[in-house]
Amino acid sequence: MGHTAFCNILLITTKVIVSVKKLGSTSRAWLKGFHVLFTAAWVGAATCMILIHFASNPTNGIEAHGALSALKLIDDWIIIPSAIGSMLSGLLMSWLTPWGFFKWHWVTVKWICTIAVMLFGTFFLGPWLNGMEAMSAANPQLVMQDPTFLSNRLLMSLSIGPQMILLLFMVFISVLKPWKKATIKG
Amino acid sequence: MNKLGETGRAWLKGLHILCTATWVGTAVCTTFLYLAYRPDAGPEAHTLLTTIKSIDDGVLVPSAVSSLLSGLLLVGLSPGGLFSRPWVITKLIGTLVVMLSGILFFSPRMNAMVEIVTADPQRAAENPTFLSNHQFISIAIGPQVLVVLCLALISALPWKWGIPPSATSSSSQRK
Repeated sequence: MGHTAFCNILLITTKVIVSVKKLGSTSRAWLKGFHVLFTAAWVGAATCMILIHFASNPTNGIEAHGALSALKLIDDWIIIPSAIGSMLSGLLMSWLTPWGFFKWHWVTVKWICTIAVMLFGTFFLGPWLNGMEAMSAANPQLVMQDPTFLSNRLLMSLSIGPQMILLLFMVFISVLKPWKKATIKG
Repeated sequence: MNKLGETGRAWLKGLHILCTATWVGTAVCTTFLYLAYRPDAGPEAHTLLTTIKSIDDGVLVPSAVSSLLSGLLLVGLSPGGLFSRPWVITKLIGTLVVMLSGILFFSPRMNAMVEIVTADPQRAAENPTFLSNHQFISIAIGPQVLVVLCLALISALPWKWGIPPSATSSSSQRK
């Protein structure tokens, strides 16, 4: 009974998703505009974070806390909302326009990259940054000698470069639209 | 001058979008950080001001200049050229206005504030020049970033003046 109900719900949901009317050209352009704006905020904020992270050379915990507070502000109020906004607007574009999710290889690659970047940010970069900010706030005098703080800083330094390259790659494939159309069997 | 081929144009467009994206995102970041800046919250708060200045010098200015140059190249090397479409001219005028206001009004005030803070962080928040500059930037930064967002949105929207609706529609349906 439970299994049948679940299958029915799945079938109805799939039918609703497939049967939803595609957007007209005006709504589609507005959606694309918002997708571009969210992505722009994401890319620009990520560039700012890289600059602050590498350009700030704190000599003491108070300076480190200043830079980390700025990074945390950007992360919490710009990176996270803009990444979510970019993903949701991209989801709507794939769903409500003829681009689809798997019709074009570049769209599929963008989805994989977006999910990878967001998961890495959620489970690694965010906790490292929040941990460093909390440590520098709690003990600014000794934080620059704290091994956890230093290892978090090193891990961030090593990973934000590739993360940024992946973001830039996604922007470029959206414009260049490389590779052939996927052949869907059946 | 030779016009660009389809591939060359796509790469240049990608570069232009990247520079503009960096500009827009940095402008949003700078605005947010500036509105979070409280000069009366003690000398530590001034770290935020020097961070904003380094973002301004290191990312905002280079990305704005690159966006303008890549945009000029894009329209200059595309069929029709610079003055063929009103929305391109609107974007160009808007970009120049935003950049000039940044050069003439924002940067000098920001530089003066950083100088005051560097010279005497304890009493910077009591300096009348510092306070008037802070008030000006707090009020003007919102409209400035709004114009930057609108300029970015113009390129994506369908009401590109000067292009017949059928042309816009067919280009948006291109697959």
